[in-house]
Amino acid sequence: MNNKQWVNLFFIGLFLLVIISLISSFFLHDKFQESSLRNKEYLIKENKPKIIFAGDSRAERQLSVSTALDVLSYSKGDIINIAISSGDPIALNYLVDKYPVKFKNAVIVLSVSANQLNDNSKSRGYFTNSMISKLSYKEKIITFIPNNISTLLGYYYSIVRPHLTTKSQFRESYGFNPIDGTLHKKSAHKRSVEKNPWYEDYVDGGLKHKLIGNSLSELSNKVKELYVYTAPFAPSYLAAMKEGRTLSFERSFKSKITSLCNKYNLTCINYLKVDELDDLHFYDGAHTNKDGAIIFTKKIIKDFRLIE
Amino acid sequence: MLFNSYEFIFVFLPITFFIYFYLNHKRLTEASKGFLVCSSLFFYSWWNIAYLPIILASMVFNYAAGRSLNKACKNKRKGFSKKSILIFGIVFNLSLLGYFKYTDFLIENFNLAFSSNAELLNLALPLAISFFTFQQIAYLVDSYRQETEEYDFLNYALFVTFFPQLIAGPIVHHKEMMPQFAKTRNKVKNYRNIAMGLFIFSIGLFKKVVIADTFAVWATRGFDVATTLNLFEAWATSLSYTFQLYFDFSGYTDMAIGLALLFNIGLPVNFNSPYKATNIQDFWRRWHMTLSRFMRDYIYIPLGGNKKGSFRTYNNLMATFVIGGLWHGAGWTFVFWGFLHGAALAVQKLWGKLGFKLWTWFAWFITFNFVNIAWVFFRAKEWEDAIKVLSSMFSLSNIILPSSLEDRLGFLTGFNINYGAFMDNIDGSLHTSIWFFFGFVLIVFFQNSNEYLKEFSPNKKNLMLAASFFIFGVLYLAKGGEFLYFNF
Repeated sequence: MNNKQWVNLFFIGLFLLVIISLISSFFLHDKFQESSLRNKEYLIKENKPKIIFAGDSRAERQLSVSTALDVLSYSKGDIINIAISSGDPIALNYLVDKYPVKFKNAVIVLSVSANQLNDNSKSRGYFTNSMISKLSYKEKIITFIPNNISTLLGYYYSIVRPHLTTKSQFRESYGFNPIDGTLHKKSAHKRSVEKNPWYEDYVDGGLKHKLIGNSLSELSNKVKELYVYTAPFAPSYLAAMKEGRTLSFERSFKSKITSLCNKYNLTCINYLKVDELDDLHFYDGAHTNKDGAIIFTKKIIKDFRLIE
Repeated sequence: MLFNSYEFIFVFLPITFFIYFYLNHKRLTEASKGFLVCSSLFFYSWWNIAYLPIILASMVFNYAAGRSLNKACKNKRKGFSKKSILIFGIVFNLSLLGYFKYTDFLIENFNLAFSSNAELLNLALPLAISFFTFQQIAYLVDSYRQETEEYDFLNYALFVTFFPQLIAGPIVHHKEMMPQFAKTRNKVKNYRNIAMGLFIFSIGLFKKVVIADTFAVWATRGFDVATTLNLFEAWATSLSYTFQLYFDFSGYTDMAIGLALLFNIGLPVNFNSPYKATNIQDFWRRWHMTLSRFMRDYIYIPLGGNKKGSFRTYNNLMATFVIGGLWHGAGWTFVFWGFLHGAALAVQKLWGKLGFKLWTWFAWFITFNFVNIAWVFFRAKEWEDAIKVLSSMFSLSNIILPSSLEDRLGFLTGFNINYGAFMDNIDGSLHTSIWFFFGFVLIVFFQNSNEYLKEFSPNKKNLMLAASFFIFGVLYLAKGGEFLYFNF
């Protein structure tokens, strides 16, 4: 290779960089989809749901489709659960844009958690990929570099990695993903609670608040009804929260979500503690187990008056 | 305009490059020089056009003084003596620098000493004034020594304003630049130089925006924001600044060298792996080499250097470095930093005379730590900030280890060691340690960019390296951030 070729190749590389940047800015920005949500996309394609459970892991693991079908006397396929770990309203919004008619006829029950408003909750999974997709280059760099570069790399990897759809995984449960087990005592210790990445240097009202607010506003116009809830905690975990600062953070989060819902005329219920649920119904401080999910699903249906 | 900005890389540089060589291609060499001067002045004025008259006035004055010196050398009996012209020229330059840079400092100290209440002028420091003033003083002294040839004003203006070195050096000599601007062969695009220029520019960009700006976050938090620091945070703060300053300034210099190469101009090497130095003299032979050269040739040697006995040698060293400290900034912390380096050099000379020798690794360890500690004074805005960092660096009463280690090392709590968020006060984490490791490996085990440039060949490996550095650099550009030496 001579000097001239070297220089030309350098500039060709630069040109490609510009093209890739343009693609990611104009194409991926509007088309991003959480890879785990793709696993559940077929539930939308193959059914005509009347109720869709959506949001993060707290909906995925504690809203039982079969319980809801029994209570409401619906047929299979009328209710699906497309909630995923690290799911948020933005991820849901991307899917709604892909299947506008299906969502227009469905009631959405959406869970949100404190990490979705905490601007300092930046580690992988706590700053969701769909949120990152909404950030400009500058915002991405300012937010994640240097301390949380792995979150940013994870986002880019999620775009390029090959994706295999595994339909069979949720064939029977219609997206509900229950977890067995009961709460380990250690996880409800004050120190463990304080370390919860949801509340890391808790600050709400900033960038994430704006992103979530925008997506709730958009969603409210695209679906039949949108019900938002914040999920409850195990009693012993809640007691540990009261000892430290996290309870005040959770309260601040709930208040911000309520304000957003009021702003966009959405029904919102904040659960901190549910009397029917004790520690035996949780597999960790913030997620119900299979038994807890049945109880909680019934409560959600009752509280949101989903029975026609 | 910053080298690390989109407008510079994607607009200013390509336009300047293509028009300059187009004009040369059309054999409009004077027009091409004029264009380069105008572009450089535009580059300079981008921040604040109010600075433009100052640099123009300084250039006109020094060009006239230089010509008068040349004439005085030729016609020894007519007009002013060359010495009086030189003194007048130096006084003018130092007055200009002194007025903008040191007036408020003098007023503050006057107020302090005499309990008066004189108002500060709050003058904005014109960009690059320290650099173009020193460069032009060197020109006057070189003219006095008859080491410069006469060139017209356009050539002189190009020597002062050439944008790659205008803002923060390297501080160049008239005699090493002018022949290059005059050389016919340098007016034609040279792909070898373009390739080398792009290569070292990309390295410099990466050093600045990826490495230096990353360390800057922790250094700024530690020095300017945190009210208390524990042992690890204090060391992380000082080391962050030590790495930030090196990667920032050497990154800038690499970019300047690369940009000049695009125009077929070679700038002098300014850094030669300074943190590999095994003594302070060695450090100053490697750090900001053109400033060291200036201080040696125009301050230390005229003061008598080492020719007038040991006592005068030590005094001259101290004076040179105190002036060097003051050149960097109008503040007692800068003076003290210069004093520390001057004193260290004096001690080193004495040590050498006594015939003591140290193991190389130990000598490196002492030198690096001395430099690191001295930078604390250089960086601190106030004495209190320096004391805050230094006292925590040497205090064993406030040690906080990551809470993840508590299960395994819990017994250490008996030794007054606590567990909690690691490097929390400086916005750091365990990742910060990885960056330090990475920084140490780079400064100690890697060749510096000039060595890579010497060995440069247009192959795939260098292409991939340059492209990667450039792409990462461009992606990180959004973070912004000025070069530290722009402030000096």
